[in-house]
Amino acid sequence: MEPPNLYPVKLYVYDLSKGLARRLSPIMLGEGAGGGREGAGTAGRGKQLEGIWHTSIVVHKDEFFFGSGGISSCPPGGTLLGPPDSVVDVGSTEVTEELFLEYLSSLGESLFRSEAYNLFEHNCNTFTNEVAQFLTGRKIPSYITDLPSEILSTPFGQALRPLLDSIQIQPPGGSPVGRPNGQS
Amino acid sequence: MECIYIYIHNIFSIGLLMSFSETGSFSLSLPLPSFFSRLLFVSFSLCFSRSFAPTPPLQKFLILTESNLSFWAWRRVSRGGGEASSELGEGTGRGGAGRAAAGVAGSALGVITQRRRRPRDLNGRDFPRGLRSLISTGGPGNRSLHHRGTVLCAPRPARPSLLWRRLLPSFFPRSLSRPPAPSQSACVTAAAMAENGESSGPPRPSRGPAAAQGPASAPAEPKIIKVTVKTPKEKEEFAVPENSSVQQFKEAISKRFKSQTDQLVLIFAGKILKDQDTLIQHGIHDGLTVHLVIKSQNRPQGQSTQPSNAAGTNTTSASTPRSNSTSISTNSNPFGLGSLGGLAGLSSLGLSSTNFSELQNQMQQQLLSSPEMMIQIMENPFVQSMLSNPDLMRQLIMANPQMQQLIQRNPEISHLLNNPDIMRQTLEIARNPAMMQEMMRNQDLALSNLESIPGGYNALRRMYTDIQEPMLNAAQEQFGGNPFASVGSSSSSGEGTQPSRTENRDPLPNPWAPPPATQSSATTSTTTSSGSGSGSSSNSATGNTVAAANYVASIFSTPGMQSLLQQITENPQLIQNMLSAPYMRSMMQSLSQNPDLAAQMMLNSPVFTANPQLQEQMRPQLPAFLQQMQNPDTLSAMSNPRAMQALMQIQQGLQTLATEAPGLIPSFTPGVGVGVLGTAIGPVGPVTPIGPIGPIVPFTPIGPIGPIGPTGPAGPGSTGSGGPPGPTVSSSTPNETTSPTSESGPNQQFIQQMVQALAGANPPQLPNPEVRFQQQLEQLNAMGLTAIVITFLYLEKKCILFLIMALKSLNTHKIVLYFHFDSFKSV
Repeated sequence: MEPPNLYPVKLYVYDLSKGLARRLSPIMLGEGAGGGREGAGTAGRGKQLEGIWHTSIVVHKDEFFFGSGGISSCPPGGTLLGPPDSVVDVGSTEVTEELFLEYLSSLGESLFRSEAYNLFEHNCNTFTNEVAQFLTGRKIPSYITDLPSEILSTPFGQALRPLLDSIQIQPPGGSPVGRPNGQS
Repeated sequence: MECIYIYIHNIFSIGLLMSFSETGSFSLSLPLPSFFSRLLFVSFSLCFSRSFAPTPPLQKFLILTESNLSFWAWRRVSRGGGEASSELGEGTGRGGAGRAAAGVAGSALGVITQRRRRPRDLNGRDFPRGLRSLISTGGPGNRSLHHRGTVLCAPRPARPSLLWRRLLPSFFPRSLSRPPAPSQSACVTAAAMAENGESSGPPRPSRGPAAAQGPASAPAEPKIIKVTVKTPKEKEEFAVPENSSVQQFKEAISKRFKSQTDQLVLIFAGKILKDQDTLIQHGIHDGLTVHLVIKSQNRPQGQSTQPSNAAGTNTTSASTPRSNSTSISTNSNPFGLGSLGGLAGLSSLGLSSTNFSELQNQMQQQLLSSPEMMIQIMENPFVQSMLSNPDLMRQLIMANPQMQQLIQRNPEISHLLNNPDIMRQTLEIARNPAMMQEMMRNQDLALSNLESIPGGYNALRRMYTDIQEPMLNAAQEQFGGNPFASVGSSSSSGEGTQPSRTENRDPLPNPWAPPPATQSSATTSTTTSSGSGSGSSSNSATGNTVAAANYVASIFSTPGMQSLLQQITENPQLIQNMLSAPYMRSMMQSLSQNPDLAAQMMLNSPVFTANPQLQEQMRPQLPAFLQQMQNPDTLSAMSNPRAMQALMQIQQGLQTLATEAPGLIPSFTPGVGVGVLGTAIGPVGPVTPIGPIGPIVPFTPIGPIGPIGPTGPAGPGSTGSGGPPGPTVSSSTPNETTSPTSESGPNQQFIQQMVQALAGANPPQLPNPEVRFQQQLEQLNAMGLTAIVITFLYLEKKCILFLIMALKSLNTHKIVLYFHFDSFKSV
C-alpha cells in the first residue's frame, strides 16, 4: 500500500501588540525595566512579555484560527494582521483535508463555539494547541500557552482582569468554518 | 526437625541483631571458648538488651529468646558443669526468667514444639501479631501469618529430647555466618514479598504473581494499558491489551460511542491508524491519548449534524413562525440593506418617495437588482462595524416599544434576540455577502419546500400576519411616526403598512409635483398662498423650482416635520448623540473625501429628482458643504438648542414675511435662501422680488427634505451650506467663518434688506456682491444647519431601520435555514 500523504502543519504566530508588549511590559507589569530579564524571567515583578501572541494553524494551504466569532479560516496570512511574525513548524500529519474539516466542524459545535471564547482561558491559542495535538501529537510552544497565566500573575493583570475578560479578539478576514447553516 | 532448627536459628539471629542495636558492642564472631559459654553470653546480652528494649513486644521477644537460650544454656550447663548454672541463674535472674527456668523450658518447648498453636510468651499471653510475624516468618505452618507466598516449610512435630542435638550445630559460630537455607530464604522472601504484594492491593495482579514467583518465568499475559480516546466532543478512557490491533480497539470504541467501526477514524501523532496495525506499532502506550473522528454517512459534517439538528430543531420550533413570516416579507424587503446602503451609495437608486416605508421598499428593490451595490454596501466599514456588534443590534431592536410588545406576545422572538449565538451568526452572515447569497438561496429553497408541505402555505401566511406585520410596523414606528404621512396619499401609507410579498409597483406620490399632483389639502393651501406670492411662477423653470420649493415648504410645515424640528430643538442631546455617533464622523469624512459620491447621494435624493437643474447647481457646492459639515463650529452650533431654535424662528419669520410682505426682501437674490434653488432660478434673473421670497423660506425645508430622501446624510444638508449663489463659488470660503455668526446673520441680512428696500435701493443693484452674498451665505448656513441636523437625524434613524430590517431578514434566513434542515431531516 502506498504511503499516505504527509501534509505539513505550521503554526503562524502573530504579535498582536506589534512589539509594544516587549517594550512596555516591564514597565506595566512590574517594576523596573529589564527586571524580568535579569531575574531570568521568573515570577514576580518586572515581567517581560515578548508579545501578545495570537496563533493560527496552517494546513492544507489554509489558515485556521479561533476568535470571538468561532473557528474561522482564510488563506494563509489573509487576516487583517497580515503576515505572521514567526512561523513554527509543528510537524506533519496524514489527516486529509476532508477529515480535518469534519473534525473542525465538530469542534466548532462543541468545544469551540463562538461564545465559548475567553481571552484568558479559552482563546485562539487553546484552539491551536488542541488542533496541533490532533494533527501531529505535539503541542505548541509553551511560551504561547503560558501567556495568560503570566499576565494574570501580575498585579496589573489581576487588576484589569474584568476588563480584559470582556475583550474578544476576532481578526477580520476569515470566514467561519463548519457552520450548520453556512457552507456545506 | 529442620524447621525447629530454623526457628531457633532465627530467634537467635534476631536476638543477636537486637543485641547489636541495643548494645552495639556485640560481635558475631565470639571468641568464646565454648559453646554454652557463648550461649550464656548471648542470653546475658539479651537480658541486658531486654532492659533497654523500648517496646513491650520487644521485651517479650527478648524474654522469649532469652528464655530459649537460657533454657538451652541451662540444659547445656546442667550437663556441662555447674559454674554456668550460677551464671545462668544470675543472668536470668532479671525478669524472672531464671525462676521459671523450668517453666521457661517447658513453655519454650511448648512454643517450639507446638507449631500449630499460636506462639505464646512466658506468661501465656499471645505475642503481638507483628512480633509473631517476625518470629514465625520461617515458621512452618504458622497460620497466623497470612501470606500469599507458597509455604515451603511444612509443619513438623518436635521432640524435645532430640531437639538440642539437632540444634547443636546451629550454635556453632560458623552456622551463624552460614547463609540461610535457600528454602528459608525463599520462604522469607516470598512471605515478605507477599506481604508487600498484599498491601499494594489486588489491582496489581501482574506484580503479585510475578513477585511471588520471583525470578520464575512470568506468566504470558498481555499488559493492559489505559488509552484515552478523545473526540472533539468528549473524552473516554479505554483499557485494552497492549498488543491488540487497531481493529479490536475500534470495536471497543464503537460500543462505547455507539457508532460503527467503519465510521471511526483514529489519529495518533498525526498518523491515521489503520485496522491492521497494532497499538504497539504506533507507539501507543499506557496513558497516551488517541484522537477520534466519527464520520457520518449522511453528511460530511459527521457528528456536527446531530447537535446542529438538535439546535436547529429548538430554534426552529421557537422561531419558525417569525422566520417564515419575515422571510415572506424579505421577498420584497430583501436584507433591508437598502436603507443603510443609502449611506454609501444609494444615491444612484434615485428614489423619489417621501414615505419611509415606501422608500424602504424602493431602496430594497433597487438594491436587490444590483448585487454590486450590495457588495459595496457590505464592504463599507461603517456597516461592518455596526453589524459586528450584536449588543448594539439587540438594543436597537429592543428599544422599540412596539417591538417590545411583539416580543411579549411572541416569546420566541425574545429567545432569538437574546441568543448570542444566533445574533452573532446572523451578524456574521450579514457581514458576509457570499454567505448571505447562499442564505437567500437556501431560504428560497426552504420556502418553496414549506409551501409544498400541505398546510404549509397557510402556516406561513399566518406567521406573517401574526408577526411580520407587527414587526414592520414596529420598525416603522420607531422613526417617530411618519412625518410625511400627511404628505402622501392614504394609499401610499396603506402600502407602507403592508409590506407585501409582491413588489410595490405603484407610483409613489411626488410631493414636488405641480399643484395638481397629489397633495394634501394643507399642502395645497400653503402652495396656493405661496404661489400667489410668487408671481413669476409663470416661468416654467421658476415655476418648477418654486413649486418644488413650495411643496418642500409644505412638507416642511407639516405637523410631522414640525414635530421633528421641535424634537431637535428641545433635545440637544439628540443632536449631540447623532453627531457624535462614530459612524457619523466616519461617514462625513468619507463623503467629504469623495465629493462625487456625496454629490451623487445628495443629488439623487427625491428633492432633486423633480428638478435636474437643481442637481447641477448643487453639485459644485457639495465639497464646500461637506467641508463645513466637518467644521466643529458647525457641529457645536447644531447641538446648541437655542441656536437651532433661533434658526427655526428665523426661517419661520422669513416665511411669514414672504407671505405677508413679499416686497420687503427684494434684494434676496435667487441664491439667497433658495440656495441651490436660487441657482436654479438663476436663469430667471437675479431679481425676482416676489419669486425668491417664496422660495426663500421654502428653501429651508430643503434641508429637512434630506430625511425624506434616501440619501440622508450629507445630501440635503449640503443644500444649505453648500449653496452660495450660483455664480459665486467663493462663497464656500465664508461658509466656515460665518457659521458662528449664523444666528445673527439672517437678522442682519433682513435688516439690511429692509433698510435697502425702504431706502428705495434699486433691487437689481448689487452694491456689494460679496457682502450680499455673504449675508446670503450666512442665511444659507443657518438654514443649512437645520437641514443638516434633520438630515442627520434622518440618517441615524435610517441606520436603525436598516439594521433592524437587516437583522430581521437575516434572522429570517438563519431561522429558515434551521427549519430547512429540520424539514429535510423529517422529510
